[in-house]
Amino acid sequence: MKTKVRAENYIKFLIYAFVIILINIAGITLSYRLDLTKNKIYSISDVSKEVVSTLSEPLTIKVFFTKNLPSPYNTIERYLRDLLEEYSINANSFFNYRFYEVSSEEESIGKDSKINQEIANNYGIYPVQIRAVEKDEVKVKKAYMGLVIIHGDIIEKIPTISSTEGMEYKLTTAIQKLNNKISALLNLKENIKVKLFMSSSLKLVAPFMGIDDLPNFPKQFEEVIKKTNQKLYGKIDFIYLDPSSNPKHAEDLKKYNIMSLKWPELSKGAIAAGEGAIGVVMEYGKKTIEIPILQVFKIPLIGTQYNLMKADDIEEVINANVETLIDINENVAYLSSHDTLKIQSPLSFDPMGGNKQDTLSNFRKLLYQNYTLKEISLEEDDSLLEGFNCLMIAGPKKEFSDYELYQIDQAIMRGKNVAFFIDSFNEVAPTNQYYGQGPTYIPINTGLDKLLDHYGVHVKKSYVLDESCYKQFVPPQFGGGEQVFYYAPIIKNLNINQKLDYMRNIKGLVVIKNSPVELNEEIIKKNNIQAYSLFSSSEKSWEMSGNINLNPMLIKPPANEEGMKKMPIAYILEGEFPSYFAGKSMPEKKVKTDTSTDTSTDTSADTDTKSESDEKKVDVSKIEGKGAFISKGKSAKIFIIGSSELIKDTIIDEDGASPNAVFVMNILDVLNNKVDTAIMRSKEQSFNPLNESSAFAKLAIKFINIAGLPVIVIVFGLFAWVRRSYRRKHIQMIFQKEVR
Amino acid sequence: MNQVFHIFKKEFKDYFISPVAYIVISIFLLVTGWFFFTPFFLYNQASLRDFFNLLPITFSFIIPAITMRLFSEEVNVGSYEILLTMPVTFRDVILGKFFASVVFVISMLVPTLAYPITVAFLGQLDLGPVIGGYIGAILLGASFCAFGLFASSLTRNQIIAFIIGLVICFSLAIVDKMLVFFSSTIVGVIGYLGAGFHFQNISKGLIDSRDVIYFFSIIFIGLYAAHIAMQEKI
Repeated sequence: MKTKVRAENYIKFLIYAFVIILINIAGITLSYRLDLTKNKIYSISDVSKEVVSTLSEPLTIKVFFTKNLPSPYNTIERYLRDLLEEYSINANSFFNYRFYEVSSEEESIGKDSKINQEIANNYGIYPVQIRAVEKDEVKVKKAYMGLVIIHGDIIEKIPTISSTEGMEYKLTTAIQKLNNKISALLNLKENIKVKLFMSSSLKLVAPFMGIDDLPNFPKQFEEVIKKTNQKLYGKIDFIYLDPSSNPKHAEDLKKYNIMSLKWPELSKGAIAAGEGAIGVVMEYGKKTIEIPILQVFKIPLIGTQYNLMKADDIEEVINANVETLIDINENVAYLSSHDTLKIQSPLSFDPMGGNKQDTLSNFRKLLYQNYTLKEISLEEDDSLLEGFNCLMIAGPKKEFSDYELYQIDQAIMRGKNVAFFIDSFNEVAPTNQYYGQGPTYIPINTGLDKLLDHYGVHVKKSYVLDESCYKQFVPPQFGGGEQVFYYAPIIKNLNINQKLDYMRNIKGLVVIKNSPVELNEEIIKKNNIQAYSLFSSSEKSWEMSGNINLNPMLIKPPANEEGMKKMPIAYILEGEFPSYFAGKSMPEKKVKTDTSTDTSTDTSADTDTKSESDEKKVDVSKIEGKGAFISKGKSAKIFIIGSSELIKDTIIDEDGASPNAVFVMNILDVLNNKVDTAIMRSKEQSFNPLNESSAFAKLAIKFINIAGLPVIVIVFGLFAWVRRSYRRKHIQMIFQKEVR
Repeated sequence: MNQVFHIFKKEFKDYFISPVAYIVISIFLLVTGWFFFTPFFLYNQASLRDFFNLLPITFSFIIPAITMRLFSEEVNVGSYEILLTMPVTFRDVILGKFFASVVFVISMLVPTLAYPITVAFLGQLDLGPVIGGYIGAILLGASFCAFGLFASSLTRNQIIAFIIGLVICFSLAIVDKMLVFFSSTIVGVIGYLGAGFHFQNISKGLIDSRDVIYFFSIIFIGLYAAHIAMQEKI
C-alpha cells in the first residue's frame, strides 16, 4: 500500500513538473514586461514607435544568431527578441522580423542551419569570434550575431551585435535612413554613373605586381554593380573606360585624380615600358567621389605591394558612396573657411602613428551616422543659407568681414540654428624648443563677438580653471604623484542642467581649455529670448586671463576662495533674435580682384565647380543681397561654448558612448530640431556619478552601513533577550508566590 | 489556511526567540555592507547594482542556514510526531514554515533599505531598478527557502540539511555564470535554469512575466519535493 502511494506521489510530481515546463515554455512566447526604470530603458521610445508605425513599404529585419551561446551573449538574443517584439506591437502591417538559427562553421550542422548560414553570408553577415569552453578546453568559437534590415530593395546591416547598449537607437536610425534612402533614390533626376577607369596596358604588368585577377576585374566589377543595381532600383549606370585605347580619357584621369602607374621595360624587354591608370569614379550631377581600388603599400625589406579591392567590398563601398552622393541624411553645414578646425583628417595612413590630437575623425564618424556634412566657405560660398538647419562654426581664427557676419546673422534670422565653438586664444607652439618653454596664447579676434554680444551672450577672453578637474597619476619613474590639469574641468552632474530633456541623462562631462560664457540678462530679457545654461564649472573654479600659461606645474588655485565662483560654460539660446544689422547700412561684399589669392588653400573643392562659380561670382556679387534683409527673424537656436576642444578626438570616443560624445551629438540633434532622437540616444547613459562628499562623510557613510546596521540589529536582539528574560523571571516569580 | 497562519506565526516567533536570527541578520548585513560599501566610493556610481549582484551568492549561504532547522530539528527532537497528531495537513505545515522563512528573509532585507536611502542622498538614484531589485530579492529568497525547506525535510541532521541546501542554492545562483563549461546543445536550458540569470533581469528594473513564472515554478517544485519527502517519513 505504501509503495503504491509512493509511486502515485512520484507520478504526480512528474506530471506537475511537466506542466510547469509547459507553462515556462508558453511563458517564453507569451511574455509581459513592466519597465520600472525612470527613462524606460527597456521600452521603445516615441520616435521608434513613430518610425515603425509610418512605414510605407515592407520592412523586414532578419536576425542571424547562433543558438545556445554562453553568457553574456545569450542575453543579447533575448533582448533583441523583446526589442523587436516591442517594435512589432507598435508597427503597422509593413513591419516584419525573423530570427534565423545559424550554427558556427566548425560544427556539424543541420540542413536548415546550413541554409541559414548561406543566407547570412549572402547578406554579408559573417561569424565573429567569442570565447567558449568545450570538452574542458577554453576555445575561441565562431558565432553569428548580426542582423539585416531589408526595406524595399535596400539592405542595411548591423554585422556584429556585441552589446545591447544603444541597440534601439541603432535600429531606429537605420530604419529612418532606409526610409530616406528609398525616397531619395526614387526621386533621383538622373542615374548615378559609376565609371571604372582601367588601362588595358595594366593587364600585362599585373602578374609582376602580384595581382593576377586584374584582367578579370572589369567583368567582376560589372557583375557586382549589376547585383547592387537591382537593390538600388536600377539607378546606377556602369561605364567602363580604357584610357590606353582612348587618349580622350587622359583629361578625365587628371580631373578625377585617378591613380596612374608607370613601369620600365620588364622581363628582358618582353613587356615594353609603359603606363596605365586604375580607379573608380561615382558621379551624380556635379558631385563626384573617387574610389581608389588599387592600394599600394611600401613594406620595409619586402618592397612595394599591390592590393586590389575584393569583390565583397565593392558592393559595400558603392552603397556607402551612393548614400553620400544622393544626400539621404539631413545636411549639417560646417564652416570650413576662417581657419576653423579641419573636419577632414589629412590621411588615413600615418606610418608614424600621427598626432591625432587635433583631428575630428570620431566626431565626423558619429555625425555621418545621421547627417551629411556640407563644408561651406563664407569667403567663396554665397549660398550658405539654404539646404540645412544647422550651421557649425568650430574654432575660427581669422576675422570675419562685416559681410560674412551679415551672412551668419541673416541665417539666424531665417530660423537656421547655429553652433558656435569659439576659441578665445590661438595656441602657438614655440619656434625654438628651449627647455621648459611652453606655447604662447594669442587672443583671437574674429569679430563674432559683436554679433554674439548683440544676441546677449559673450565669450570671455580667459580660461576657466577648476579644482574639480582631470587628474593624472604620474609613473614612479617620472617622480610619481598626481598631475592636476586645472584647465580640464570635470563637470559634475550637480552643475549640469538636467531640466532639459536632452540633458537629463548626461551625468558628467569633461571640457578642456574653455572660456567662460556670460549672458547679458538685460538684452536676453528685452528680446524675449529663452536662455538655458547647459553646464557650469564647480564652485571652486577661477579664471586665468591676460598672460596665459597652462603649464600644469605652474598653476596653483588662488589662496583666497573669494576669487572662486561657478562659471557657465555652455548656453543654448532660443527665440526670435533681432538682427545685428538692423538700422545699419548693409555691409558690402568684397569683390575679388586677384583670383589667385586663397584659392590654392582649398584643395578639396571640385575644380570644375570652382571654375564655374568663379566665372559667375563676379556678376552675382554685384547684384545679390538687395532687399532681402531681415531685421527680426524666425525663431532660431544658438548653441555657444567657449572652446572647440569639445569635438576633437581627445574628448570624443570612437563609439560615441561617452557622455561627451552623447552631449555633442544631442546638441546637433537639438539644433536640427530632433529632440526626440537626442532623448532616445541618451536614455541608456549608464554613467551616473555620485555627488561630491567630504572624506569624513564617506567614512561615516561606510561605517554606518557596514558596522552600524549589524550593531543596531544586535542591540535590538539584546533588547528582545533582556525583555524575554525579564518576562520569564516575572512568570517564575508569579508561580513561586503561588507555591509559597 | 488558519492552520497555515498558526504554523507561520509559531515558526516566525521561534526565529526571533533564539539569538540565531539576530546573528544571521547581522552577518548578512556585515557581509553585504562590507562588499557593497568598501569599493562604493571608488566606483563612484549612484546605483545599487553591485549590492544586487552580490545577493544570489550571499543568499545561497544564508538561506540554507535559516531553513536548515525547520524540519530537521522537529524530526530530531521528536516534536514532528506531535505536530502530525494535530489537525494539520502536510501542505499546511510546509506552507506555514515556508512563509515564516520568506518573511524572515524579508525582515533580513529591511535594514538594507538604508543602502538606497544613503545612495539617494549621494546621487541621482533611479528607483526603478531598486524596486525591481527588492522584488527580485524576495522571489529569489523565496525560491531558496523552498529548496532549503526541501533539504531540511531530507535529513534529521541540521548540518547535512544546511550543506544540501547550500549545494542546491549555490548551483542555482552560479549556473548561469558557468555556461562556458557546458556543451552548446544544453547551454540554453541550463542558462534558463539559473536563478541568478532571472534575478539579474528583474534587478535591472524590468519585471518580466518569464522571470516571475520561473521563480514561482521553482518555488512550487521545491515545496512539492519537500511535501513528498515528508510523506516518505511517515
